[in-house]
Amino acid sequence: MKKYSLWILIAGFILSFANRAVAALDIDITRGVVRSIPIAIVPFDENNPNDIARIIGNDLSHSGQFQVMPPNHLPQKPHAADAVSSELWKTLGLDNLVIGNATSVANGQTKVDMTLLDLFHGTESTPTILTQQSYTVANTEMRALAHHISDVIYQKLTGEKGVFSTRLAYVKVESMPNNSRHKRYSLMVSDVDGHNAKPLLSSTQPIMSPDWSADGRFIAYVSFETKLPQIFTSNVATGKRRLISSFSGINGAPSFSPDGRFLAAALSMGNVNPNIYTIDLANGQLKRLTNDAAINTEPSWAPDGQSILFTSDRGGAPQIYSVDLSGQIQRITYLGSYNASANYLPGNASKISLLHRDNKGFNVAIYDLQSGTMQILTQGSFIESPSPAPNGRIIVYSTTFGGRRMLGMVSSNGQMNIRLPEVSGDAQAPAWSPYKG
Amino acid sequence: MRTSLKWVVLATIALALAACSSKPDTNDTSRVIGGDQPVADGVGTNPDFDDSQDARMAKLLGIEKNSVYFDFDSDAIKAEYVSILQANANYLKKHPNARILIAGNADPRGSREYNIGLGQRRAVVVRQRLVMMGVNANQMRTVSYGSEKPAVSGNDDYAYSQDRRDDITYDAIG
Repeated sequence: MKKYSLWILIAGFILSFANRAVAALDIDITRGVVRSIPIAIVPFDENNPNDIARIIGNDLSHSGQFQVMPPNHLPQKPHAADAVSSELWKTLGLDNLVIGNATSVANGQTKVDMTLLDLFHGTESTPTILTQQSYTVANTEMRALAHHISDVIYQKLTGEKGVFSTRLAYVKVESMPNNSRHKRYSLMVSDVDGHNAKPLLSSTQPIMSPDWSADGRFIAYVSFETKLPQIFTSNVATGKRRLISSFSGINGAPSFSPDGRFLAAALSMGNVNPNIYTIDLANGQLKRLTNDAAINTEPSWAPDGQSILFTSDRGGAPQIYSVDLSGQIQRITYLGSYNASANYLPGNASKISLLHRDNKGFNVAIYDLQSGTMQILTQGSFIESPSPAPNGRIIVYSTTFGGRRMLGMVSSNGQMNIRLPEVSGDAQAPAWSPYKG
Repeated sequence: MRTSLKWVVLATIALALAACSSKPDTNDTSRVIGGDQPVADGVGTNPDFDDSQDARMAKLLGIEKNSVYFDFDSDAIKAEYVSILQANANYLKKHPNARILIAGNADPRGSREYNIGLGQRRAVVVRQRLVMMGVNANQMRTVSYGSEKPAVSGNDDYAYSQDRRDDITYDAIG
């Protein structure tokens, strides 16, 4: 069991080099896994460098909940259940095995068969088949299919919904070749593993704070394209966008309400300090929820839509507060001198993820509202913008490594931490999408 | 040529959008929502940091650089920068058609949106000082870029001290 934690580190580095040529974001595993489900993914099509099995293996290992056996440790490479020698795998501590085939068929399509086997509960000679699926997809959809299969495996073995088919939004910043002080800012949307990254919008001026609508169809963000901040929403499929807020001063930190009818935002309305407002997306009507001379920003809705977390320095230093829709304010955090960027952890209404500063620097932490305890998950120092996955099991954030901004992910139990470096430029301000509607 | 033409077109669109949608009016809450706009794959005013123009303006004002720097977690204007503000005040009073943008900035540590709040305080404090020096408030706009436009790259105390600043740029020299 134990030696898989080393394997996964080695595998991570091998895969990160193998992917370097093709990946938009490639992956370095910075911390291994102590307790998780051992699994092996046998190559579906061993001669294909983009074999679907490799993508599935990456997905599962990055979840922090699986120990994926490196390909060069596989004791056999069967394609059918009756060719599996259970004993061979069980002596290696393997409980679960994924086998399959990927065969080219007509019209640029590939037929994929996948079988998930349970070696532990099967008999000596015959493993139990947990699920068996067959797909025919266009070759261009192979990555999407791999992520779907990862979701199927994840759900079978953990009982929870996987997030491998969800997406990330983030801001990419590139220096222009003729003058390093001229930048190009792009609002990017990518798969969760960093592949298929596409710009939704590019600008010569900063773009900030992307936030997904609950149905995953829209992204709200701040654009400084006129040199002053404005809040827009863009349709992710069409790119069509809509100006939402362009008041005097700060227009910042947009956050969609769970029902998609409102945006909460930080607006300063010509004054020094921003306050928390809701904007009715149907008619533009504003409602002011805070009203004081302090920074009030980063609104983030409770899952029931009845209250909003926000960051405020009304007590002298930034801390997390909650305001209900009648304007009643309650302080949430007291531990430490700097807490910001809070979000409820999906699937667990009593925990929030946040940015927490201690004497080592800024890190991702989870604050338990019931027990009042703070669990610090990362060991970086220049971390910001934590955003939890829709199953609450992983948190994406932005960090500095080797002088560049890049995305990182940490499992919410703190056991798995990976970096996803951009090939060109800096990646910052990530936001994890909801499940596809 | 094509690229520069594209920028002119985009800048014109951006300015037109700004002109029709961003009239700041704190009492009017009805004009928040714009209509759907066409797909935009490249937006933004002409790249800023027009070094040569900023340098010419600084020379005209008799200062080295039109920036004011702040201590950590502070929006207090330090005595050494008062002369820079006075030079701007003298010019703006003499040229009532001149227009400036005061851009407040923070160092990159911590939350980006919280840093927008810190930068806004630094921008507003300079605007207030210029008003006290007799400048017409209508000649000035403020913006906070928070930690989105660091002056130098790097994560050390020197870089941070350069990042915590207001940059004053002239939109019109009057």
